[in-house]
Amino acid sequence: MDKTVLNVNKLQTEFRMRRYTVYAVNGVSYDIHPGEIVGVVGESGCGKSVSQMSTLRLVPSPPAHIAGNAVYEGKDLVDPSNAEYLRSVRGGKIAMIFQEPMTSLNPVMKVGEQISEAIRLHMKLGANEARARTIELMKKVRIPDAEERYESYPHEFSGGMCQRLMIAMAMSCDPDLLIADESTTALDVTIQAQILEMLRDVVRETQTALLIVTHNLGIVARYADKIYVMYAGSVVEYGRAADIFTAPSHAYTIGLLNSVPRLDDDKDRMLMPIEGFPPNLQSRPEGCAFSARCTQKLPECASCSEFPLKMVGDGHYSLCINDHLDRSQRRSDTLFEAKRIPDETLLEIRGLHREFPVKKGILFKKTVGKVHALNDVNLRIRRGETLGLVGESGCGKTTLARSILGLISPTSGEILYQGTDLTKLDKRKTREMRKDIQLIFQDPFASLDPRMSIGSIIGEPLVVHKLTSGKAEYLKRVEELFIMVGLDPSLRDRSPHELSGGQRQRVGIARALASEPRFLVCDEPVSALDVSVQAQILNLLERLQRELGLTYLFIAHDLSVVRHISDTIAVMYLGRIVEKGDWKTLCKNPMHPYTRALLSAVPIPDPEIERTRNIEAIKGDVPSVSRLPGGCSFHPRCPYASADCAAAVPELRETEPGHFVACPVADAIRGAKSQAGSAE
Amino acid sequence: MTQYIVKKIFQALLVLLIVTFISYLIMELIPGDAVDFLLGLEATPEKAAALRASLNLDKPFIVRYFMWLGGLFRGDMGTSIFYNDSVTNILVKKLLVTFRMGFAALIISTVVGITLGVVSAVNRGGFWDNLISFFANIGISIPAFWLGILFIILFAVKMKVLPVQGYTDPSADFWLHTKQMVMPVIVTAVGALSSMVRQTRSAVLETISQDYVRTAREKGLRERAILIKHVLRNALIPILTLLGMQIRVLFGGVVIVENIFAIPGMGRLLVNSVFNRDITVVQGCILIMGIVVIIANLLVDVSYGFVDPRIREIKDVA
Amino acid sequence: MMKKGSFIRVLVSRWTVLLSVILIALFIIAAVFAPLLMPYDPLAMDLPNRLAAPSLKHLLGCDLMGRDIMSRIIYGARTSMLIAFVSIIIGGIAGTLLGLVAGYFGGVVDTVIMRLTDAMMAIPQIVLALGIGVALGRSTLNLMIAIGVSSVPAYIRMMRGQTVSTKNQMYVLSANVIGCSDSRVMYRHILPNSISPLIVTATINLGGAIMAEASLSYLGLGVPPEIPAWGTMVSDGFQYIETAPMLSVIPGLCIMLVVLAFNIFGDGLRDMLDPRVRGSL
Repeated sequence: MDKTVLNVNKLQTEFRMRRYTVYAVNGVSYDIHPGEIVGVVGESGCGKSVSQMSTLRLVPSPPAHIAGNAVYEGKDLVDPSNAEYLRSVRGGKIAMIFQEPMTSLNPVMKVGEQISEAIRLHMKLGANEARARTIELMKKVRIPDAEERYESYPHEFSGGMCQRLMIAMAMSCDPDLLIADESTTALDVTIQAQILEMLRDVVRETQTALLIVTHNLGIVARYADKIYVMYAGSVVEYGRAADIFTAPSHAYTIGLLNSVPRLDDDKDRMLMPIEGFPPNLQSRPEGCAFSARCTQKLPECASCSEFPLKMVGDGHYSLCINDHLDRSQRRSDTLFEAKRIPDETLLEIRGLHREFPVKKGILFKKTVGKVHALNDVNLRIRRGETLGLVGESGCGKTTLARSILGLISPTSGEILYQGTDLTKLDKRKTREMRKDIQLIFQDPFASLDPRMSIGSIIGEPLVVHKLTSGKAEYLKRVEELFIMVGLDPSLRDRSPHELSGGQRQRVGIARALASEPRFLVCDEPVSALDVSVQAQILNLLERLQRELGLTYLFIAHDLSVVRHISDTIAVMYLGRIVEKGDWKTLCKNPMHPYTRALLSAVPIPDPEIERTRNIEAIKGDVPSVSRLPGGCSFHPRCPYASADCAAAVPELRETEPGHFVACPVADAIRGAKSQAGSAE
Repeated sequence: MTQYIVKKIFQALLVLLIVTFISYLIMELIPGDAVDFLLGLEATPEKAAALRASLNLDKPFIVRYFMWLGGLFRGDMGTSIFYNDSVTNILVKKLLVTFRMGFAALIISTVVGITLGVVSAVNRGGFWDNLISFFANIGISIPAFWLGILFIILFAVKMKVLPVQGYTDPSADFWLHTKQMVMPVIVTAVGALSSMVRQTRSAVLETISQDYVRTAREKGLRERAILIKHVLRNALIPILTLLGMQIRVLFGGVVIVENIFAIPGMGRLLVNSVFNRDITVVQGCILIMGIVVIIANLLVDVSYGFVDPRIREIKDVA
Repeated sequence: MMKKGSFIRVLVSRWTVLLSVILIALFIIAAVFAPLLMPYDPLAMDLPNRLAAPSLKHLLGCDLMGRDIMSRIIYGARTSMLIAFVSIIIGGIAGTLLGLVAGYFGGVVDTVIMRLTDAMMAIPQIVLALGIGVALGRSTLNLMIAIGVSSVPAYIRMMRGQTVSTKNQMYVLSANVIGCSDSRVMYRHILPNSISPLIVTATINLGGAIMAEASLSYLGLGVPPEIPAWGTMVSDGFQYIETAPMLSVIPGLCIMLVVLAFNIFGDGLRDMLDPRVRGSL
């Protein structure tokens, strides 16, 4: 394996804007061998995507200036004089797959033509042969009815299917290297698992090298042979996947591994976030770029100008000059004190339905069908607990959150909050109730009014509900809120865009807490944040819960996060709760095939564990809620489905105390699995 | 697709109905009526009342509106008190003159405008872009009547290559007709052309920054192929939108230009009728212009369906 | 809001925008201080000086009635600016409110307002202004109303689009969640976030209003004939196009310069207020 596919050497990319320069990539070197799967990990803004785009000169230039070289078959792709050669390589021999599959396809062109366009260009095939090859490729990436779908337009495909098309397009000319740039980030976990499994099979079969760029440590642990960790435009550590995870040798890598919640964690482990936030790259970092956030830095870290890559093991290199890194924090035993949850109901949802009518007609619209967003949802949340709600996009979890807040009125059913039915309240009472029930949003930036100062954003609930009398009291209360969420009160007059992602989410939390609510609905509160910041916010939420006696409904698609924070977990699929129970029983002993699939779709950032895991990938896309399959809505994707499953909707039944499952075959599956397990 | 078109037609009809109402309402508000004009100094209360009754002017507003609307359905837009002829007859003759001129201006502004806009966008920041953008900026700012006068001074008075003003029917003297129409058509087209340049430029630039253009580039396509196969087709959608609005702008220009160059079209008729207080004719002019603009917009809406497959699918979603 | 410093920096870095600002300032000064700046009474006839050529006494010469053209141009600036600003305030306020309401509440309100807008958009703006002006009778105030109303649909469309997209922003939802009333959401959250496109539209429409006023005056349907206005001056000069072309050329040039200045300034504002473009300046 001494032949390299691509050799990148001292790559530098700068964006020279009129008034400042962004040093996005600072001397990145790597090489890739045939058939190898390489992972590049790092948080947003670390330059991992820009460096890949730079090797193919896909960054707009100007303002970008690229230096260094990227050698493919003896020729430097970065050299502008090889532009013609680069064009023949790009899309032919080296292909890229991007994050947003929906916008990466031309909306007004048939998908088949978009794929065959590259084939005709690079393989010099005629129209018919190109068509045949396109259809073959579409079959290879498992697109059903490939011949007919050739004529379809991008908007007729789901996100996952579009990503398959992008992969087909990338594979169309037998590339030597495939670069997947956050290519599954926008997809649901089960779809993500499907795509990655398929991608791995395809590259293994064709001996194509694959470079996965991602922020997800679990994905690289599951798939990569070799890993490059990037921070602030540099590769800070690289080596074989197993070495990186068992013997991380850069303080940043260690910090990163400590900050992610894992499926195999101790439940009450306090996450160890990396404090602070990544540097902006408008100046070349003096010393080690990470030193400002590093807990293990040496005096010379901040001043040293040259950091040579140091060999720390066989093929394992690191930039860190601290030879005595403490890796023990990794299995941190710092635990939160256990919560005592009284058996007292705070919120109860009974038989909640929400249908959206599908209207048709030109002048006088008539209802022709219904979208069942919520279908007989029953939940009970005890005072002081965290109920985690997991499910993929379109499963109805956001509809549920908004129904509780009175933003959507349910079709039928009751939402009892301390005995009051929230669905029966008029507009004024609902507004009044929002003092008690608050929401934390997914995207902290989008949920803050860009025209308002941080102080007035946090203080707005006080004004709206007239909670303070007099300016002095108002200011005092706002300052309290700043301190409560760990924000510096001197930031009061800043605008949201001047803050980092983590700070913004703190603002969102402070605003939600302003009216002293007792119940918080957290709708994907950390999924838009970088992993190191995610840990800060999760810890903050846990601390606040204990200090203020809050009750949370925590909605997320990431089971490892939900498992980490929740006391009780409910799993939703297409508007129904399919399984619910105590976190421990549910995670140790998942009964519903969907829960099992979700759990196995989440990769654990540890290659040792990943190697032995049995991945239960489920087939197919999440069906549209407007055309729900009859019976158990999961049966078309379920590997264990029998004829009965299509006949009747399974009831939630209690299989062990506090553990409810809506699956008739759950027991049988578990029996079979445990037998198989013991046999091995 | 059919559903989409049918829906758009219904919408257009509704808008048309509102246009009839607006044009009726505006004229209704004018102080004084045809009676004052017709009788002039001879007016006596009795004569006026009799005439009002015969012209139905004594009926309530809404009744007269519906009577007028009923007439419209039969192609009867009333009688011009000034020309003493049916408004429909007058308008049909004038419309042809205006139409010929407007159509020529539309073609010129669209073809030249799109071409220059694409050239400008492709050379973004370069010499041609700056030059074209500069003239486009002037083009949208220049008053048509002033440009017309400048043209007359330059081409008719100083260079004496074109006639100052006037109109000859093409069947009578085609060559003279053409010479007479050169300046009016260009003056009418300038504003529309300039906004087309600007719109095309920004549409192309917007499209170039889309992800699928990056994909096309990543595929290894040549820039020219990317421009033709991926960029232009997508940029066509905002350009089409403007095309619908251009008809309205061109009509506005025609009103001015016909008055400068003494062309007996609808624009000149409209202004003269305002001076003559010839209400029925003014109503008719506004209405015809409205109908033409609405039809143009309808055609644009329908053509979206051909350009954009997402709109074609509306039958499924609706 | 953007900082003052960067505003000035952008202004200096783009000389066309700077030039347009200077030009607008000059015309505004001329309009405001017209009585002080005019060398002669713009209405005073002086028949011996009929069509006099430019001289030190009459910088731009005299018109067919012997009136000083320079004074008439300065007074014309006053007419144009006054009508443009007042009509933009009338049209801007009405259009913004209607667009805000249509976009925020949607449903029947939206349908009614938007179909009405479509109908107004089907009639050429100049014809609409002409129609309304004639209906109201000829006076300066009525002309302002006519031009203002004819510009309303443009504001409605812009503001409705802005409201619909802002309404779906998470921060508007979050305002609802913390218990803000509809009017507070519209006033405190949607309106401030739509102010940039609103200012840009208004600036460009100022040029449009000046153009509309001049066109109507040219047709003889604008301001009353006794008030000096650029459009009227172009039209009056038309008859002497062979002997004294400058009578038409000079006022027309003024119209073009002002409209051009407003257009360039509006474009510049748009770029400055657009965060995507701002970074690269």
